[in-house]
Amino acid sequence: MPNRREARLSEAAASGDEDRISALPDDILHLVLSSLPSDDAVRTCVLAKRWSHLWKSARALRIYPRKSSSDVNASHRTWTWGPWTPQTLRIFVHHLLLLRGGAPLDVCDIACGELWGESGGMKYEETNQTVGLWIRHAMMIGRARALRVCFRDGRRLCLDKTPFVSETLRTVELNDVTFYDKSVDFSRCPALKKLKMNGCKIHGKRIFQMSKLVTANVTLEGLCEDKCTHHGHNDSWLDSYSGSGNAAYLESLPSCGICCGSNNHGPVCFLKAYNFGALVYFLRCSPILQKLTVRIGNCETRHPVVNRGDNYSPIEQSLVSNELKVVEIQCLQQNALVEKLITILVDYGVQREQINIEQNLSPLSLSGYETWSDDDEYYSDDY
Amino acid sequence: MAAPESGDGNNGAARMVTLISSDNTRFEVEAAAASLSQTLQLTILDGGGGGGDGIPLPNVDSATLSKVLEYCIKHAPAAANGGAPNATAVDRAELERFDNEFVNIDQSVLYSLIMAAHNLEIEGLQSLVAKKVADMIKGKSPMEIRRTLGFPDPTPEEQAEMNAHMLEYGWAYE
Repeated sequence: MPNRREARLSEAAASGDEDRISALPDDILHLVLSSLPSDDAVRTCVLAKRWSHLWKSARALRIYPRKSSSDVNASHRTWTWGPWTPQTLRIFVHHLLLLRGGAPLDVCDIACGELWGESGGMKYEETNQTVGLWIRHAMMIGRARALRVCFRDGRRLCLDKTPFVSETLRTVELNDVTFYDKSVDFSRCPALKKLKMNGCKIHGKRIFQMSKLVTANVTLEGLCEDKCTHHGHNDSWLDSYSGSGNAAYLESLPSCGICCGSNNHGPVCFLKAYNFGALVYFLRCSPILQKLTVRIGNCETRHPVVNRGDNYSPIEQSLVSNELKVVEIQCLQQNALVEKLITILVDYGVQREQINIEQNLSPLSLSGYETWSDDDEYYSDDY
Repeated sequence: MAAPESGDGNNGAARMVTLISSDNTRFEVEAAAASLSQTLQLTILDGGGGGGDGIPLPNVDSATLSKVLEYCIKHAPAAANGGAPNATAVDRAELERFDNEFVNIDQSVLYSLIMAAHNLEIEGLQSLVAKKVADMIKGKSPMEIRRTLGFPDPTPEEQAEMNAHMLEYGWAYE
């Protein structure tokens, strides 16, 4: 066991500062424990008397994938733990949340990914309720500021029955989550600044309800577009925006990534145009939009785009954002459809020279969505 | 807010302050960098530390202070930008590289640094050193953590207590 020798060496090196780490100020130890995965944090309770209850005040619930590991203590008793299974995870989180009491919980990061093993008799519905309860506890009791969910027990987690109600929640990242029959409602999270959804499925007709106070940076990535492709008819994210009276929300939208990635050059809006009526609606309701990218991908070949002429009327005065500087049209080739789009944009007050056309767009593929670079900063302002 | 009167920051002479370590070494540093310390910020705002005065730091020795200031100087520009919303990915990567390198240090140095960050209330540095300690703990068994952090070997009584504890915390060992 090479580790043993190394350990001895470091022990010898550290012997001069014996126990100094354990004697650190509480503030620092709280920071240490708050940045540890919760199971590691709990296991520090056996280190010393002073540590035995410190884990309770760690300000984070952090569940990450876990490897098999074991510990043999001096009396040769062996303890082992393995990757999270539905049972071990449920037992652990229930103990943790109930025993730590009402101490603040700034971060709720349930990011263990796919669980191992059988679902242990838990029904799908039960799993959804259980995880939903953890999230509600973190919001209500812990007053969490950041929430991330990346969890799967065979199927996508469904959060239809989890009301998002929080005065404190500032960033939310949902991965691989599904919503069936409800809108995704964040209207009771007035402090929400960043909402990111990745690989989520949203089946409801009305997608977003946000607080009017919110100036959220909403990002939808990857398979989030499933709805557009699976539901066939002219449904699109845009329709869903337009259908739900979300003008107040769009008005406060300086940048928005829908379906595709943004970049580092300031406010940008990406959207995938399925019908132009919705596009016009979007333009009208986005007064501070600076850059618009219209990506005409496979819909051009797969679905003929319906121009619902009655949805807009060129007689209306120019309602396009004064801030709008560039419109970029990405397409496979410049065809009649693109010409039609340009005509509409010009009718709505976009200068022809503001419109750039980028041809030879490679067909939409998931790999194209993986160019986001801001993941690392996502939680940085919440530590 | 940070960087009170630095203005453009680049127009010639930035305001300097002097810090004096416990072993009487004087360090001259830009006020903006020293102001990353919440403890020093108020003194500096009041005009302290300038001229021949210097701010004495009786809890921080010179080796540690020079290390702390290395951190502050590197992070001051980003902090002045209010968390650097317009920092490029390159800038962020560079800071991250610096941070990783910065805490790649002996445990005794790390300990002094933790105490200095705590006493001087330098938020970013506190998180950084706390993360470092967390990394030393992550994924290890209690016995391994004891060795890594240099805890003394448990006495038989402590061992018995640990065993009892582990039974009580069986839910974290499944």
